[in-house]
Amino acid sequence: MKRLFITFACLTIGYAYGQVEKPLSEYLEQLEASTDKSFFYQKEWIDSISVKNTDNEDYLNVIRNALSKSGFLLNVRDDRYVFIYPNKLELERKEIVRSNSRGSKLIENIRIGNPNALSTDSDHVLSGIVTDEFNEPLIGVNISVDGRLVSKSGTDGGYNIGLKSGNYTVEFSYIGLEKETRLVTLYSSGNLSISLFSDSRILDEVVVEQDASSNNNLGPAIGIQRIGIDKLEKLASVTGDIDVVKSMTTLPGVTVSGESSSYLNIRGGSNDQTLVQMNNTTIFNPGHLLGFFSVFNGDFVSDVSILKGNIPAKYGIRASSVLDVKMNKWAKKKLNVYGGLGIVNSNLGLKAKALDDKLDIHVGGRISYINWILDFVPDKDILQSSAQFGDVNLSSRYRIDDKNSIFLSSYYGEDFFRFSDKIIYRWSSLNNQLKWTRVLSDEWILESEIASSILRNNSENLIINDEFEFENGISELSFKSLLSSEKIIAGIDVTKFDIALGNVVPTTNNSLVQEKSIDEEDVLNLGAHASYLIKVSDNFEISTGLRFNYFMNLGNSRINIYENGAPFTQENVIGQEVIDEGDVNYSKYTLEPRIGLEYKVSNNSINAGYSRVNQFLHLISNTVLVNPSTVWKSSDRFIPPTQIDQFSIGYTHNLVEQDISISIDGFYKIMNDLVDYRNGAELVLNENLEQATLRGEGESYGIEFLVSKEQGFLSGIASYTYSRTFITVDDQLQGVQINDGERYPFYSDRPHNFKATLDFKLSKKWTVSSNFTYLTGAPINAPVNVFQVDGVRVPYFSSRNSSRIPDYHRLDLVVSLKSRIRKTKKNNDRWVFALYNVYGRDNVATIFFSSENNAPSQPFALVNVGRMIPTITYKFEF
Amino acid sequence: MKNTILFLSIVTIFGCTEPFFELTKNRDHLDVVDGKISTIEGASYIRIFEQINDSILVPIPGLNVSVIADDGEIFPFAFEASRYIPISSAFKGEVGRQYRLEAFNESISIESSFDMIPDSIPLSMVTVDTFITILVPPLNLVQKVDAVAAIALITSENESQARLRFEHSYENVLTRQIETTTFDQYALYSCDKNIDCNFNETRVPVGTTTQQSWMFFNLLIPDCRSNTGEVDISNGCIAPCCLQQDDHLTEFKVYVEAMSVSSFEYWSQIEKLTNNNGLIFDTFPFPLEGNITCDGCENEIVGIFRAVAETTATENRIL
Repeated sequence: MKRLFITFACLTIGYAYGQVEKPLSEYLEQLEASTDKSFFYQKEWIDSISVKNTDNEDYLNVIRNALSKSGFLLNVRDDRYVFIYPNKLELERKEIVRSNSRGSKLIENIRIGNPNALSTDSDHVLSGIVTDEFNEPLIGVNISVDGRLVSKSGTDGGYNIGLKSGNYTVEFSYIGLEKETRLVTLYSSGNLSISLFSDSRILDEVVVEQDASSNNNLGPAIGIQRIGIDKLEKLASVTGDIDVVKSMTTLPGVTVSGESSSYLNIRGGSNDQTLVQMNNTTIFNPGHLLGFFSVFNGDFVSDVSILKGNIPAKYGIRASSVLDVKMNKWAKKKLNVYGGLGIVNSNLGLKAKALDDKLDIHVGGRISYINWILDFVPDKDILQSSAQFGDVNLSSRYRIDDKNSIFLSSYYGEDFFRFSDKIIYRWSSLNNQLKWTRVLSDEWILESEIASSILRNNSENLIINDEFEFENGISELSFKSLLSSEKIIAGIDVTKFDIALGNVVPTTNNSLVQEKSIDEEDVLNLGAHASYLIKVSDNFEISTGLRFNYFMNLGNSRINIYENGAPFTQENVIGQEVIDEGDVNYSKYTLEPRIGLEYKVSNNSINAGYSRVNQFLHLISNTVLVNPSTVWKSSDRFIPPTQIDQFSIGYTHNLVEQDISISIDGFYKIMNDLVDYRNGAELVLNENLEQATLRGEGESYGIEFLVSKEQGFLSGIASYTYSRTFITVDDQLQGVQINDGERYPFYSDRPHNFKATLDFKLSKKWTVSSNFTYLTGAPINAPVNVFQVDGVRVPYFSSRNSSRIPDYHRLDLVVSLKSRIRKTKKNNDRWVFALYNVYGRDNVATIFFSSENNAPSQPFALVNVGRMIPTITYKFEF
Repeated sequence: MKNTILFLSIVTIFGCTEPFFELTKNRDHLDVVDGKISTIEGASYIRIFEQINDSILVPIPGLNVSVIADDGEIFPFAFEASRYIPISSAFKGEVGRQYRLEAFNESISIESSFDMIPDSIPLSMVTVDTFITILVPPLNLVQKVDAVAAIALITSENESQARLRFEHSYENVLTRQIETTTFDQYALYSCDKNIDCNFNETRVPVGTTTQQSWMFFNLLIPDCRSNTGEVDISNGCIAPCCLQQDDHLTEFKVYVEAMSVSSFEYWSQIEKLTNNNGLIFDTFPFPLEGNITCDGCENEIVGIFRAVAETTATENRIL
């Protein structure tokens, strides 16, 4: 059908324009405008070339005829991308062609230098600049010649290699980016500049990079997945904006705990087991507006990686997975201004270069205005509710010289949510990062950084006679230093946490609430790690890693002393121990081995991995979903760290001809010392949390299928995951069993998970995307009946997590209209028309329990988006 | 549109939402046991019933029900008026003695564990005070009501737990008769090693002392007077109860059930479940655990058989 369409278009064009002689450039522009063809050339090359007799002629024949005596050649990729280039030896060649097909990378033979100056005895310099898809210099790109690492790019992306004349295989590789290889015939000194992501015209088609082998610094690491920015833009959100967190859920094994949640559950991991990072700073609450938006401003996002399998040794603290988001988009020229307006939020930002392009600055912000929509909701509580957020990002980079650069980024976000006349939530996040990168030699790079993250929560209860204000939060200050080469990564990190477990104060004279405050926790974690990549053969790599943690929970605090061997109950408290400030209350050493294997044969690869991670921070929550005031708690002498051992295996097969990739991954996790709660436990403002918590042993297993097609008229991803996550609580120390000591579904247990994202590229400007998600409902405690005793109606809940909320499914449609992206075009603008929740599914956003109107406590499902929501968003940049 | 900044947002339809819906509608049947052995004559009873749904419960007759003391003495109960009561009208529990429940027929056998009657808790006095509270009216109803606080003063230095029941009866201002309907409120009292004696009526207790504990709760008496001053029992007023400050007789009666720690824990669980609003200070819902087991029951069974030392006190006030 597509070919018919193209042929018809070409014939039409030929008829319309074939009768007269015209400049070739004009003919190509007309073709570009009316078909999906893209032409790459330098205009001055073909200024003097004309075409004629185009009537009923295939466009390629027309062009070939025109170029036949011009000395230029034609090269066609994927029946769409047409390259015109001079048929002569170039002294400096800047146009590098990148393959569009996974696993079938085109290696182009490039001749550099003047062949007349050929001298095998001379030393020449091959130099150039390595950039990313935004044409920004990449620091620390590994540059190998004939399989041997010879250099790394400097802070300006530049590199210089001393070589003699001859033929070489030059390879460029960088963490998380696709490897590029060139066959170079070097005659004399010359330039070879390269983009690891080719220019944005082709980048449209870069979708998911499942293959971990591209992350060569990480070594074989199955379960690492990336999503390109353009793909993110195709995935619908309520506003049509990029939503990093929601986009991640298109990948197999990744879910969120509810529609209005930004806490990721990855491979059965709980809400607190995913380390979410923004420019290497920890994000403790990744959601705005109770999770409808993520904290990641899409205009800053340059790279998103999710590590759900074999986690590299440089990561610790969280036990299940890592979401690593880089916010490093820079200006393409001296000044870029961009912005947009959606139905519930607007954004504005600017990017600039200064100081001879040594300084890059990017600042931008978002603000919401959802309250006008709430006014349309015919519900008393909603009418009295309001919600809004705002955030600001700043990223800057200064290249001191070709070996040193400094990077500074900051983020501040604030949320306000008032529900009826009952409660107000406020929370804010402040993240800062200062990083110094130094290229030590051709092989080694040193990165040192100071990072801080602060989360502050505030809840104000407005209920009569129960008015209070509750505050809690967590802050993290860390220093990290990372030394890396092609095969070795080693580093240290020192992280200090201050955890405010909370304090409550009455806010009116009539309030019955007593003021109460819980001691803050001071936590220090010393980490050291090393990774080594073993290249057994061209096809077989082994990555090894080891992480060491020394975790300390410090005073100032009071610790209960319990009778020896007795359960942690108030009756067994025999005294208290006072820990002075700075003294160690609890400490623990951990060693965490990580290993990954990868074996490649032709278009197939097999991966396997094992990792152990310990988690010292726990999210204490009494609800299925995380509310803004959820409390963080560190491990102590009563609540040990959670330890997870994960075994993974995966197989990927690339059907090169069809441009289809198929992968199957399996995993099995053993989870020790998971935290669950006693029946009736009170969690907030409980200074004796050890009396409320229980230790459980868990296991999680699953199999993930992924099929992706990245090119052509129809592209997309389809994935299905079957996974189970169970916990068994038979706490011998506490003498407590949950569900009679039988295993039961963990809160993140979602057995069936199917997702499909299809993109129909109608033309260079128009794209239609559809996203469908199906997810088994989360397990909950639901009452099976209500009985009466002494006139009191009491809900009776059956065994823990024996019920489930209704299954989740949703279909979105997104139509995107882009202005053409050309080097000559001065501004980019884009319209996004989205239909969110097309068939109006009443998906459950959160579960809460209410005993309002004297009824017994019952679960209710909050349906935030119970209908189809159409949105139109306009984005611009110039 | 080159070099033009264009802001535009169009909302053609925005789907308003139904924010809540009940998650579970089909109920499993439940067998429930509510048994009390009291130190007051005539106050002991055993209720055994099948809960069909939220509002329908069916007493289960025909069981051989008896209470067995720890020394083996058996006290038979008989079915009467939807519950089982002692065959001997003089039956009452004794402090320091343990009792357990047995109930069976051909197909089922219900048992409880032993529960011991603790020392009674001295109830020094009941006082009443009034407050003015402004409530957010439910749309078109009245704006103000008076609130009444009944305060039970307990002096106890011993470790003790109790369940308090406040009965409130009032004079009908139209008929000048005392309404027989009572308005019950419950509270839990716990005095643990003289460290933390408090009532759990509110999540954060209003006031605690080691020697003397007091309880505060609101009795919300709706003001049913219309704008013209006449009594109006429509608009949700459940009775002609309007406040006439000078001639309104109100009786407050407090029952204190001193009970074992395990029985107290049962009522604590009920309190947590019934007060749960899903807010940050509430507990995660959980299955209620009592001391009843059943062999042969088709349904799940829940309940408590408690042995209590009961005391009462009364306060009459003209409000």
